[in-house]
Amino acid sequence: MRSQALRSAAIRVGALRLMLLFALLLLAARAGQLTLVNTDGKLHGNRQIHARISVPSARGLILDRDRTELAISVDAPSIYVVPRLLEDRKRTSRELARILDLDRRQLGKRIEGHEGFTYVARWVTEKQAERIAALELQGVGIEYEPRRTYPAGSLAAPLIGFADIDGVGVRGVEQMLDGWLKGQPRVADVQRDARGRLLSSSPLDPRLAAGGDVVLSIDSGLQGQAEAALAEAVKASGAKGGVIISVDPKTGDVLALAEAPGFDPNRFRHMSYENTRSRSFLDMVEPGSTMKAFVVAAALDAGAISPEQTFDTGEGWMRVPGKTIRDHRPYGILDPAGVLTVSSNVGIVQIGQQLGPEAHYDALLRFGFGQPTGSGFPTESGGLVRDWQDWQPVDHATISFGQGISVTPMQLAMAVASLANGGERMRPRLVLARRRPMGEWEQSEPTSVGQAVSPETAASVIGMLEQVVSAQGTGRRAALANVRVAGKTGTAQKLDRAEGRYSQTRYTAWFFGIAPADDPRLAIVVALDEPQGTAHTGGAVAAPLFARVAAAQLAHQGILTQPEQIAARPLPTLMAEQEAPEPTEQEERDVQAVQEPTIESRTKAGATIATPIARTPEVAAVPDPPEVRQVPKVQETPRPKAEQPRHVASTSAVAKPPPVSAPPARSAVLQASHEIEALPAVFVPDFRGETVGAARSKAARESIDLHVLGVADGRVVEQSPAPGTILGGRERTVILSFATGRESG
Amino acid sequence: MLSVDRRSLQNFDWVLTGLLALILLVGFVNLASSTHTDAGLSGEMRRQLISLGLGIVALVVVVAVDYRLYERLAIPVYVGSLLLLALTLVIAPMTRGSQSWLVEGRLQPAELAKIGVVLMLSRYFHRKPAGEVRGLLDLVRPGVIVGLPVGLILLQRDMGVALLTLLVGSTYLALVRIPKRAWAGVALLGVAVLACLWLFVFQPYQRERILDVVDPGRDPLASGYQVNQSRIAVGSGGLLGKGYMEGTQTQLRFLPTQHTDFAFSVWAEEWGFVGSLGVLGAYAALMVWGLIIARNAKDGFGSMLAVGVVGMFFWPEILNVGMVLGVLPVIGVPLPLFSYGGSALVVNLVAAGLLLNVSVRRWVF
Repeated sequence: MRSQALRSAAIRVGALRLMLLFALLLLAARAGQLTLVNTDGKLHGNRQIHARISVPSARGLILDRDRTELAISVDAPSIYVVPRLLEDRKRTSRELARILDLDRRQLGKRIEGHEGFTYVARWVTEKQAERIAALELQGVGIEYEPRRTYPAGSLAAPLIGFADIDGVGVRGVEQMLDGWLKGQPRVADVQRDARGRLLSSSPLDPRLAAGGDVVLSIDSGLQGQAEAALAEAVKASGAKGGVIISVDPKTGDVLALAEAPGFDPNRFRHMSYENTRSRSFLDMVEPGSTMKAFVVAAALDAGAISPEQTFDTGEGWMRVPGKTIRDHRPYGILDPAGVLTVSSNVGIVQIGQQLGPEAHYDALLRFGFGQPTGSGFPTESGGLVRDWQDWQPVDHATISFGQGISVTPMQLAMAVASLANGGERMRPRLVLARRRPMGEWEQSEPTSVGQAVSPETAASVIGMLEQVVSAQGTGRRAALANVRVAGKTGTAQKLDRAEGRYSQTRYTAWFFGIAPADDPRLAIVVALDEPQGTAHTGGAVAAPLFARVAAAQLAHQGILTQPEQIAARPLPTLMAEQEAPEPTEQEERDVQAVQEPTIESRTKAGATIATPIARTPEVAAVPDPPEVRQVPKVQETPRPKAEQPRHVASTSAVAKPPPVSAPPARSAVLQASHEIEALPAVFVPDFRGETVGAARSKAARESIDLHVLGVADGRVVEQSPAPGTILGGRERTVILSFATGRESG
Repeated sequence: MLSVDRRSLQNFDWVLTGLLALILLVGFVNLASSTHTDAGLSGEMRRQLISLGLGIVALVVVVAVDYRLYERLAIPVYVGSLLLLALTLVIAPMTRGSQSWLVEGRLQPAELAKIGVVLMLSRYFHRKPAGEVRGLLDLVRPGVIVGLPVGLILLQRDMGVALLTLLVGSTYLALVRIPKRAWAGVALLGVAVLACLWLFVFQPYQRERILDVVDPGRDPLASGYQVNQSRIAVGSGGLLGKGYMEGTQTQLRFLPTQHTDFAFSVWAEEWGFVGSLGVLGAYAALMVWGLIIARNAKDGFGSMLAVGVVGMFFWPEILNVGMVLGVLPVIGVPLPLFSYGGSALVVNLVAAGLLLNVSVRRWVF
């Protein structure tokens, strides 16, 4: 019985054995299928382990000419999670939100929305990273990626620009040399483990993969000094901003490029585009009287005029078709140097006419206007110089004194530098040298872009420009002790876009200077944007700023000097006119500035206008302003007159300056009286109900100047004088008021 | 009762010992890779070596005693294991969704319960020879013997061990002569149990796991993640494998629980199809040899005991390798003698000791 049961059991054991072996055989077959037949797994596995990823390389250094670090890359921690591996999602997001100061719900969503690697926060502080590491949260990791920082803060920020969070240069030199600085993207086959960590990194040595370094031409010390001086001047003058560009004329090296207001590139995420642009390279500004230097240079170079030639500026005004050109006051007979010294509009227009529009235009191009300087700065503007064939006589006239032409401060700086470099114009050299990681420095050579004028002409013009920085000149506040300075002032009215005319209150104050004039080492351009108050001219605010910056920079080159203001003196013999200056024209106010107190003295005085003083007939008799501390009353009196007289009827290129008669008083009525011979009297037409355009053409037919009160929009509702009034003499101005029924736009 | 006589020593089962040693060795080699760090001997390695020492001591003790004593000890061991299971339910903390550790990380009474069940069923079928089973009613008592611990383990929410215990118990069905009608009843009962499990017992994640077997691509990153990674590991091993410690899936920690439940995929990745066949072959040899021992046993109890031990090795092996290869749901059953796990290793060595005991005493009377 037992044995039979055992035998039976033995048979069943054999059956069981077959079953077990069969099951194992099935598994073996399955293993064979997975490994040998169906190899999807292998491919899939490779895909999830091997990835072509781009490892960010550190950006190269940006150094100044003394190898001071301006932009560096440091490793900053970033926090990532691999949600799949999180043990406790709630706790993880709570802790991370607490330490990183993030919104917990948003963080939770981010974690829920991903299964694999995802960043939670980038560029966190070292302390935050340490705290997170201490939590030892499963599935939370810290990765170090290079972060751009600018140790010098806002120093030269508009020039240097910045790189965005992904390490892409988006402004300034960072953008210009992005390809060089960013180095090689380390794209490589890398392995990731299940947590998304990189296992074997790219075969590239991170030091070799890092971006190349560059040495800029700027000098941090000079840059900082220039920025400080600029900021102070901007504050004192109430300007909106300003630019100082200092160039080594022989090489084109930009030694300092200060712009105000600046910004801190370390905080680029909080900056608008408007605030991070470089004004020096991008802003197109009317250069005003600074242009006169180049017109004189071009005319001399072309042989159109000689240095000894004289120009009769008569009573201080002339008519070109469509416009009356005025000087600040009559200067009589001037030679080219005199034209520059007192900055005579009438004189320079005559010189421009002698030169002719085509040669004038060509010379402007040779000086580098109307096209980018070739600095390579991203989106550099080329300024605006219209083709000479489109120039009307009035355009040619105004372009001669820098109206109706736009330049960038950098263009002007390089044009000035070309005068200082024997007429040879250099390309601005922003970068002195560069090197590949662990490589040798490669110098970049100075590049000439052609001869603007002959060396003789350049020397001659510099000599004339030295007179600008003399007792008689508009630029006398730019003078330096023991160092000869050549320069030119400029006060450009800004275009009032809303009214379509030049503003009476908003100016760009310019000064450019070359020092030392006998052996130029520096070419400096100073611009202040909308300085407020009466001291808003190039001579009053820009020239002293030049002196301050130039003195510091020359000292750096071993030339010890300091700003030394020269007392005003009259032009000795050329000053034919003895009458009081005509104070109303605003196109050129440099001379006026000579007679104005400086801002410093005014604020020191605290007082305002005590006694209204008339301009003395003799300029020489005007005492040196700083001591006067008084503003001529005429400045403050409202003068309802247009700045753009039109004279369409005139056919001759230039109306001869009227003969000198009685000294003009400040009264417009009196002025009109001796004007009658020159222009016929007219009846004032009825402008009411007209649009701006219609009113303008009507006024042009009658040789009447229009002055618009308020915004020139809609139709004329009021005019003064009334229709039918007889108007004669020089002041043929009608004031119009428009119905401004709607908001602008 | 100690009877380590000359004859037992002369008949020492070198084949079984060799097979056990081979599987253990391979397991350790594999563990070294799956827990490999640069910091030398891993903590898991050290703990597993200690467990091996304990297990060998236990094995020697188990072998030293004539197995016929165990027939008498069956009831105490069985009842004792039931008590431990109940005690675990009362005092043990919940860890990772189940409540199976009486002493955290040290003692899992459910493992002991399997031995209790094997001893108890061997005793039952020895006393009431399997061939005498005539109908389903004859299976009620063995059913209760298996059902009690399975129920308690289920209450601990340890689905894998419960299923395993049930399967080990059902091994004996193969030795029972059951009429065809009764087989239909067994099958029906099985289907009913499965349906109940699906509807009332399984957690949603467990249903997911079963569905993943049917369609592995349905959720490769969540519920199907483990199996997919395992399939990738096995599949990428190819014929000869990626080489020891070279498995990318393993060394990059893509594999889940790679030193415990998925130890076999580590092996398969690094040693390839040939390595897998080797290990499966070793297990097959172990099973076959175990059944030979059962056939050659000198009495019914020994024979039954041997079959039970074979079941104890066979079922977890099928479930584990089936899971690793993606043909069975993820149950969380380690590969016996191979996977990391101290408690399981000791219990498995005790079971192996029982088998060896039966083997060396086949001539002893």
